[in-house]
Amino acid sequence: MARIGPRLVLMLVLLLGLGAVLAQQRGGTATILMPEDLATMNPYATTALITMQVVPALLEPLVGVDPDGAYYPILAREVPTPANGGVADEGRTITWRLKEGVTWSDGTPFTSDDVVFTAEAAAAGEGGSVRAGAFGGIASITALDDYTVEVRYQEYDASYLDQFQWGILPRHATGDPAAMSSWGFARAPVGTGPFVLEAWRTGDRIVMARNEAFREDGKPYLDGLEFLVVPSEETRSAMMQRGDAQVMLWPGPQLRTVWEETPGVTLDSAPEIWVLRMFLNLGERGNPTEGQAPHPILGDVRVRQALALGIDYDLIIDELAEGRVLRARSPFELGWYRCDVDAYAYDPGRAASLLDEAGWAMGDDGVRVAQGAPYAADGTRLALDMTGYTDFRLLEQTELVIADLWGDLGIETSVRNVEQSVLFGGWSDRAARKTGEFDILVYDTGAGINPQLHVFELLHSSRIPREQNEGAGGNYARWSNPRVDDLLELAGRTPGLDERREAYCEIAEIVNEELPHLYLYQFAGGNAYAERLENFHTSTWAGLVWNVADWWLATE
Amino acid sequence: MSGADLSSWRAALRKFARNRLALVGMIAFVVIAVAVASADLSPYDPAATNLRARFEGPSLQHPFGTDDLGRDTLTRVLYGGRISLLVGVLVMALSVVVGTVVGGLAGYYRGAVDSVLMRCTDLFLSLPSLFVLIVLSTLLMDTPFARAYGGTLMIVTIVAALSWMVVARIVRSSFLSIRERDFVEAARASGASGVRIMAMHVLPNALGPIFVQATLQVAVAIIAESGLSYLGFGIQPPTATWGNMLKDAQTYMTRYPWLAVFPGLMIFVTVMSVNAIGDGARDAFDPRRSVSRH
Amino acid sequence: MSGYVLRRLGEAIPLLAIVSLLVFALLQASPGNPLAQLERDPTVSQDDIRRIAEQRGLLDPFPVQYLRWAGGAVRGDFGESLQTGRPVATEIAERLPNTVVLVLTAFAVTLLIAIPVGVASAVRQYSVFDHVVTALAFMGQSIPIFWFGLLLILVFYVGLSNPLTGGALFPAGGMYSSGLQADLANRLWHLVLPVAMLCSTWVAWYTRFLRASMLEVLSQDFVRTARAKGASERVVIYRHALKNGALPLITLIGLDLPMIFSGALFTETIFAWPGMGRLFYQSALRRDYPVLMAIVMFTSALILISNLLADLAYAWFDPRIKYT
Repeated sequence: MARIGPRLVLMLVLLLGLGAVLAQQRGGTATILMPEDLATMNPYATTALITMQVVPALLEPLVGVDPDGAYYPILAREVPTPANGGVADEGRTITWRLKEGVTWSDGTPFTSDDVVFTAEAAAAGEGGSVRAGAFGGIASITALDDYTVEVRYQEYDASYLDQFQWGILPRHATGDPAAMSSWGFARAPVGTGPFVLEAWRTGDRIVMARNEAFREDGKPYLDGLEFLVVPSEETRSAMMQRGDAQVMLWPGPQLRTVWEETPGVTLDSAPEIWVLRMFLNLGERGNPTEGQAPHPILGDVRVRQALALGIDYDLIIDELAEGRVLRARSPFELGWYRCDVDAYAYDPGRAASLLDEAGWAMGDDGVRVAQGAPYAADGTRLALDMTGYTDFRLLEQTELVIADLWGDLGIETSVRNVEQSVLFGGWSDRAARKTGEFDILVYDTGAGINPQLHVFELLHSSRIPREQNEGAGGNYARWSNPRVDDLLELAGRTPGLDERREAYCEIAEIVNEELPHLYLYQFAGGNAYAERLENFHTSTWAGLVWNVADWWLATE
Repeated sequence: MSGADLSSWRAALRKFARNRLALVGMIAFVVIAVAVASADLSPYDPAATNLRARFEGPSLQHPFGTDDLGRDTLTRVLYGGRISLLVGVLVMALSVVVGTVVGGLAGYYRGAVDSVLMRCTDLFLSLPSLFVLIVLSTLLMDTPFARAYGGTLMIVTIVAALSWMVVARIVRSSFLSIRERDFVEAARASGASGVRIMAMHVLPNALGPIFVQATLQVAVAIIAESGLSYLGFGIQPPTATWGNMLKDAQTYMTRYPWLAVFPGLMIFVTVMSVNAIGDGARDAFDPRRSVSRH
Repeated sequence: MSGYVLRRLGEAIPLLAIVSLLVFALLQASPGNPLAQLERDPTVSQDDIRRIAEQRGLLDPFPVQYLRWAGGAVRGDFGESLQTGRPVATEIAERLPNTVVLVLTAFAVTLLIAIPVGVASAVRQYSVFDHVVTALAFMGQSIPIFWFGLLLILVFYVGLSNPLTGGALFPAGGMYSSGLQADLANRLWHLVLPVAMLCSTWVAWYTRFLRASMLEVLSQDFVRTARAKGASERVVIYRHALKNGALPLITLIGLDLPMIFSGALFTETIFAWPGMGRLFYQSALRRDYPVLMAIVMFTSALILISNLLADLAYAWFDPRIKYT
């Protein structure tokens, strides 16, 4: 027998020691700072973003998406694929196999009936569900046994894996599906998640405690979570610096140096799905009817290209946003559908010559006037208005810098921001978005892991808001391109991710050439957190608490 | 004006001149007014962005530093001062005119006229001013009316609409007492019309308290505008006003405090000087009268 | 007197009715979509949005909507919040106590400082003390309250540290620290900065007001008479002069008390205080009409009642005044 040398003993001791150090420590409460309170904890009753930053600690979905964009099972036993029989019938029948032995936090067993109930309640629009549209394509949903659910769609739905992304609702702790708006569940949810709700003091804080019945032994490591509502960003950052909180949700880009200067606090950033883009109105202002005339200025693609060439993207991204955003060139920037498009670079010379070519001659006061432009009468000034929303400093700064840059080209831009509730008005409010009473809109929007619905709304010609369809649709640029229509429809009915990606990338090329939208940048803000909160990761595809069961607090 | 009035005016003026605080306030206000009026003299364009010169501290080139877009803060403070002062003065003018007319008519004619006008005044007084200002702002914010003159017209209108009432009350009580005086009786006896009597005989004697309240209205208006802009319901950026500069600076307050110091300081100093003038005026005209600031 | 009170209350009702109609009309006419949140999400269909708007009565014509609101309001039902779906009364009831605590504490502190300081300043007119007080009060009247609040946080939370614990000298927000909900000392600690901010202008105004009022009273005959009769200076000041000097203050308080509720809006936002002012601000941004209406009506009613109480107090203090 070989002598057990002292070196081996030393290694063993070190390994054991390391193991002891790395072992997650149980205990402690993590304090999370948020800018506003939740309206309700029922994720089917609201689309407010903040909801999904908090509620997934209580309510779990069937599958989740990890930071790399891959699906992984949560309440489902496995992710349904064609290979394991979960996806059949050309994608129209999905069979979900659920984990067994999972209980709700009150001890009631979690079964397939709860999944069926969730679909029932979500689809019951009259009851107050805002997600009825997402469940409208389901032809039938049946519980084959206690742990198997079969969902049949009328037609192939590319987002079948995301169907239950907002969480599974317990039949026994909610109520009548048709009366969702009166459920007590909204204030006192019962879920399968790692935490349970202890108290919710409106406008003040949400307190959660460990779910002792959680399906993973030993987890969560934290005793509890406390979400504090602190509206002032300065106060939030001051609290982080003082160590009075461990997580700050969505810090503004201007705070980057704050985290660098604060020991023990870091920023964890990941690209976000939110892309800041301009919607250029290709149609006649304020005339949302079929067959409207083209926009006198923006109707000409050369002008649009000149606008794109007239923006110093590097200046904005590096100097203004301090590198906290990434250049976006198309609606397809993330994950499996990422496309590489030849982005426009800052080229004011070429922009100027394009404008000359398009019939806009430089005027005496530095603003161009039309002289032989295709859609504008001679003498029309090249004046555009740019509308974004208020209370978002970076957006406003971006608009002002771009307006300045365009000013050098002879374009007079007036920046006018309105409140979100005004900008995102509906047809009945005669909101500018819908009626076309604007030149350029600037705001951020984005798709999730599955972009189909999002890009269809934005780019398909049937989705142009008009008098005839009562303003339904998100194609605010009023752009119509038959090839893109075909590609969108193709992507919608093809299950193969590669084919879909090909279609999307072709769409991206066309959008880049015709510029109904001008893509600026993608946010990569992330969250600030105290370094002693181990395992905290910001995920592009999921909310703040996607892995909250794994968080633990190291002793200082 | 009768001879008695003229000498009381002169006495008031003398008293005002002897009040050091009021004089300092007057001088300060004039200095500020002149400075903002000459904002054009600045070599910098308040709207020109210069990202390579962001967040520079106060220096010879930029006495108040530069902001988050590299714009010169001093220039923006001066242009912003134009708006803040303009709003202050216009609100004062509008609220004083409306208040004087309403209060004057009520105080002079009394009876049914008084009743109706005072009910109206009470109605406005029962509105919670900040809340209603916010509601009015959301109502008008997106209209062409609001965009006229960079939003100044709208702010002036809504702030004046909620601050004329105190002037009305003061004028009413003034008119109520002055109308009983002999020379007014005499004028009535000689057959002069009501309007003529009010304008030529009653009003000149009521000017004292009106003037005092007017100066306070300026201060109130400047604070109201900056408060509204701070909340995001006032004049919108990129037009600079002291209030919205303070709002924008808030984000950077810990690292670049001068961005918040200077606009805030300007509001502070301007309001102080106006209050000093108001104080001096009050002491000059009637040291015993207590004036409401609502 | 009771006839006077009843008459005032009777007049208040049509006044409130007109206020409600006025404000409702303004809100209805305002652009801004209470369901903007739903429009933001491209996966929510237009049909869903229209259906929800219909369910909440947002598509009905103005008179219908107003009458529905008014009918509910007289019965005490102010509808449901468009944001949370909960009864408006609940939303307000949850936040009102927080604002009341803040406001009343601020008021108490204001009077506790302003009265002694104002009186002392008047008694020692033109002394160094008086000059310092007048200067400070003058500055306090002119400082923008929101700027002052930010300065307070900068100095007392970020800048200075507690010499004993090394932590913050005062907390930057919230009503209490985690787990210490019932701890009075902790709650008081959290009240310090917000109250300081809210008080700032009020203390200044009242100090100066009281000083001016006291100066006027101290120069009057009856004071000289009291002195001549050999009463001690203290008695003269506090018993005789103050009672008269404080009289106008009553009216001022009556007018101010409701105002301070709106001033609390800035404080509640900066110090994360979950009160009614902040509820109003958020509801205004999101066009949550039922909540806005209820808060405005509440504050209006408060103004009318405060004015009445101030007038009654004035009459009680000054027997010369009689209301019929």
